[in-house]
Amino acid sequence: MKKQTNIKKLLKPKTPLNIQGAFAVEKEKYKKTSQTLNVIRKCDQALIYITDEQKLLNAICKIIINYGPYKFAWVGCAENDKNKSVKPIAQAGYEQGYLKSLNISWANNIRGNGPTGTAIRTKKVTVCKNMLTDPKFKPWRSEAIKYGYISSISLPIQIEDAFGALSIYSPKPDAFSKKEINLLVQLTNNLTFGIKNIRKNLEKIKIEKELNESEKKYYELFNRAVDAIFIANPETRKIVDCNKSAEKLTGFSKSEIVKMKFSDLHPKELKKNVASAFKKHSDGKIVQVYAEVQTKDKKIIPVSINSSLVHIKNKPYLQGIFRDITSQKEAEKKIREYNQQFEKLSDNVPGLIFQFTRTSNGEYFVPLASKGIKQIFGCLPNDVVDSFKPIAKVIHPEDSARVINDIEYSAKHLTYFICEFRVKIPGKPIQWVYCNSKPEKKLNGIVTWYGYIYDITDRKNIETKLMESEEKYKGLISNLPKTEYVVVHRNAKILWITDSTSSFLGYAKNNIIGSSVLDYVVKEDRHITSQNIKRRMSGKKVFDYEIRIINSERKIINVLVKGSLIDFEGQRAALLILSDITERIKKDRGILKEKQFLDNIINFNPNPIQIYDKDGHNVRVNEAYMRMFKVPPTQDYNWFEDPVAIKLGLHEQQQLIKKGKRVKFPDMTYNPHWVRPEFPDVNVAFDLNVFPIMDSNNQLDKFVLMYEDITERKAAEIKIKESEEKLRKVFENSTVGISIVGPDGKWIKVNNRLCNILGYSEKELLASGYLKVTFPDDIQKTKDFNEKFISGKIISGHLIKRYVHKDGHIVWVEIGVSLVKGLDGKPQYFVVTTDDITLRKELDEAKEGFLSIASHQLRTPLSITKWVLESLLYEKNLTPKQLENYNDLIYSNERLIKLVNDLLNVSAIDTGKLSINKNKVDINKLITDISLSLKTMAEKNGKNIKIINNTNNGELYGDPALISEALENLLTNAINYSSKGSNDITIRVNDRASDYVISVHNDGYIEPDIQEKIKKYEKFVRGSNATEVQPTGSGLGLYITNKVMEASGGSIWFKSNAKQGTSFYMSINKK
Amino acid sequence: MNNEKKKILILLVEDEKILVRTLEDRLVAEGFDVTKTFDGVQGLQMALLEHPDLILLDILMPNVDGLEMLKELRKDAWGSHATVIILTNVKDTDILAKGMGIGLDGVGNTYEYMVKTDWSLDAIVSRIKQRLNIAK
Repeated sequence: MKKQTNIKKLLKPKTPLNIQGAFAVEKEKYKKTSQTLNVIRKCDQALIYITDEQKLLNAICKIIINYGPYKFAWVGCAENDKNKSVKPIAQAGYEQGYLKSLNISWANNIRGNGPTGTAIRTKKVTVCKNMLTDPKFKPWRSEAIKYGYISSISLPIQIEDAFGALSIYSPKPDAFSKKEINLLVQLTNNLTFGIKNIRKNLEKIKIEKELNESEKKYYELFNRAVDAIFIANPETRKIVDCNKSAEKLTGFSKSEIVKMKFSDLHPKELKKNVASAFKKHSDGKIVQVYAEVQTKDKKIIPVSINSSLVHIKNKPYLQGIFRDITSQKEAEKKIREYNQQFEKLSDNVPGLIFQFTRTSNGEYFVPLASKGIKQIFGCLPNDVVDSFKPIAKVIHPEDSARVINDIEYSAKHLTYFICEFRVKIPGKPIQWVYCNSKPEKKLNGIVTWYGYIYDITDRKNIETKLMESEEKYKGLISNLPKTEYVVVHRNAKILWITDSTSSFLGYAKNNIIGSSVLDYVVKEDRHITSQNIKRRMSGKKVFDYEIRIINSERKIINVLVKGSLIDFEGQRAALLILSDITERIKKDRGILKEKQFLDNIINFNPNPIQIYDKDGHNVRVNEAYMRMFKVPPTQDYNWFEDPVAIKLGLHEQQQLIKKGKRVKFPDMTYNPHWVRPEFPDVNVAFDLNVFPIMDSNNQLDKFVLMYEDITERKAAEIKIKESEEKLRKVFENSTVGISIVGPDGKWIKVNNRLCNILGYSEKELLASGYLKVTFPDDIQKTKDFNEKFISGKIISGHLIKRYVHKDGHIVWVEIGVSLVKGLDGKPQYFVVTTDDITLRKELDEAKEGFLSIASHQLRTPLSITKWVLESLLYEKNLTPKQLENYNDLIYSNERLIKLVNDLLNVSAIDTGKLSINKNKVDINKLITDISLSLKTMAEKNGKNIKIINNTNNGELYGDPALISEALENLLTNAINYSSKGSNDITIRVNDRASDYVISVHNDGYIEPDIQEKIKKYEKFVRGSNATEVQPTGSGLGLYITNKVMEASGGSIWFKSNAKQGTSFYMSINKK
Repeated sequence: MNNEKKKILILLVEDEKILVRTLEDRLVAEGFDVTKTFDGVQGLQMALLEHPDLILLDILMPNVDGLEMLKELRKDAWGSHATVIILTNVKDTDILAKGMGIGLDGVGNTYEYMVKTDWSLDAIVSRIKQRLNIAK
């Protein structure tokens, strides 16, 4: 019962329960899910076959709409603009303007809180169950209602660093169940994967293309490189390739170089050294050596060699880059010379002039020191070239720490190193020295000082003594090693002088007192002296000044004058304290030399160098600079205000110099013409290195610009580009078919014209090989031709062959082939030009056909006449008159036959249609046959043909028809042009090693001037008496004979003299 | 000529009637038996039927030309050995080369090639005799 009630309860619905309705809902749900599954399936298919990103996105949207229960789907991409807008990039469905009205953002604001914006921002799936009630959807609600969208889902998409969302709209509320959301998330994941795949593929294709191009460029760069480059096998060191500069450097051609080993490039005595240097090779390391190259004409060129192992197509090769350093060596030599000069000068200066170096790890040595070092430190210049010990040893132990400390300070702050210290040389008194030098820091961290040291022991001693003496004298004689005293009156008259000063001037004391001080001063300095004395006497302050004094030996002495006011014997007077500064000035000159030495280093530097002061104004440039830029820098130019640099945004980088930073500007271009129109219009390309020189306060003092000229490299690159462009144009627009063919016979590249000639599209041709479209009869010929390239017999050649056009007709072509070899020497590809010569061939055939038909047609009636006439003779009842007429007929007919033959031959020769068909020829049989055929003619002329045969078997390989033609002509001539007296015409055959020589002799004589004419073997040349002797000759016989023999690889010549008669010779090669 | 022996048979294959007549007269006068045909088809039939001692063959003829006929002839057991002299006015080295090819394909018996205008009847006759090993 209970059960029944329950059932009844169930059957009696409180609210109308519609089972069918519930079922329909389930069914609907099921249907939806299966539809969504179907969508995923379709999408997966699309992912497999669509390779374009945009197309894929469009297709996915379309599939969602077509196969799913949705109305509208679109993909939006997050833009990084100010409004953080979302840009639609694909869509499908009932959009009709909806997207345009959206104005969605992914920012966290009212326009960004919709499902799409939220999904992008939070990277989470965002569902809008009901647009009519969801407050977040308010901004788009009215639009959505218009289009009939009720619920939506937005699925975030992230690909690399780009974000977006796939949004799907349904016309039903709450249309996305959990199950469906999962399925759609899966779909989005698949989509993301698909797009990544597409990009990866695109990237791969791009990289492959770039690799290919870079390889080509590399080879071009290799070939055009300014440095000589050799590529060798790393084990055998045999050279397998080299570039043009290598040929230029060595004087050998490439074909000679590739027969050489690496070591063969050097002079004999260097071979071992170079070989051992290269043993240090390990993968990837660059070995640099300096060596010499011996050129083909035995010249020795100094080179620097950078060699390394490189991989070309995964095979290791040894690459040697040789740079001619002749000019560098010369510059070094010059510097050495200047060095020597410098030494000579500096050696004569008292004290020590030096260059002192501190390496980056704190070692000291003195690469350059004048002879004065012996005086100062008791050692020789060579002792300290690579060691500081001899100096360190003798510095006074009490001063040593201070000196080192000062050196290190100077090195660190690049301030002047000025120091006074004691030197203790064993067996000598202690010496005080004064050192003044200026440091310079090189790029590699090495600090170098240039400076001088001199003995100040005397001064120090005085100072020490002075310290002990009275204070008032201290001021008078301060810090001057040698001082003279003169007391003068206002008018410069000398009132008193010390004894040492009078001997300094070289005059007696009595003579000096009372004279004017100006008498001892050089003319030019008198004015300043008297002025200063007056000034001092009137109580004004006078700075120390330098004047030149002349002593009794007319020697000029530089002195520094200090003036002070004193009372002398009751009157005011000036005390002049003179210190001899000749030594100092000498030293200054020494430093000047040192400066010049540095100048030379700058001037002879092969790289252009320019120095600016701290304000950016030019200070100096070196010679290389002038060579590169052609004009000197303009003085009103300021580097920091360079308009081009500002335009290029390099201004800030330039400012770094002021902070003491090194700056590099690669790949710059400059044209003097830009600065001033009258300057030359030349583009100069360079890499620029700028480094600052700081003063002692670490402020910018100067800065140095080092230019590296890359104009040639640039020009080469541009040329390559231009020639590539040109070649491409030639290739595409050529009226000749051009193609690149691989060694496997496949077309790699074909141009339009080739497609045109063969009737196939580019795609069709690239998919097949040339043999496939070759006319079957020509395949063997083509293969044979190809084999010649592969076996290395030839690298270029022509071939006439036939192709079959796509529509089936035969195309005659002439192909020109040249082989391009790879770095490994193996055939890489062929460059093939294909010229359609069908029309020419047809014309040729027509012409040839005409020739053979014409010859046949002309000969037939002639042979009839010939034979019928001959038959007539058998009648034997001719009257003498008839016989005479008969002979005339025979004669005319023969003449006509000969003429027809000659003309046809000449026409064949002149049109180049003389074809050669070589075959086995029995020379004896050939001669017998011809003499037989001419026997009648000979007999009629009262001649007898004799054959002398010296051959063994008489076989040769040649064209029987051509040889017969030539011999027949010689024989006919011999019969017709021999003198009346003799009977014999002799044919001799001589068997030589590689040829047969056939001679035809008669006793006729050819006059010397005629001989000259005949030797040219021209058409229509006849001897002066020929017309008389043989009026019927055409003047073509020898011309034909010569041509025929040339064509069949033989030759003719003759000898003629009055006594022995005339012999014509023809030589025929046996093979 | 010797009557006891079987007469020597020469087959003329030539379309030019006057030449045939002239050649025939001369050859008959020399004591040969002569059979005439005027094209390659007849020539081949006659050759295979009569097995002549020597065939004088023209090249340019109606229907089947001389070289075609020679090619067919060389396929036959007897024909491959038959003595053939090509007697023509075609002096074209290409054609010559083609003919040589045919000749070499046959067994041993390369054909001979004579240009009509270059040869007198006398010379032709002596050549024929030479080929047939008949003393003059």
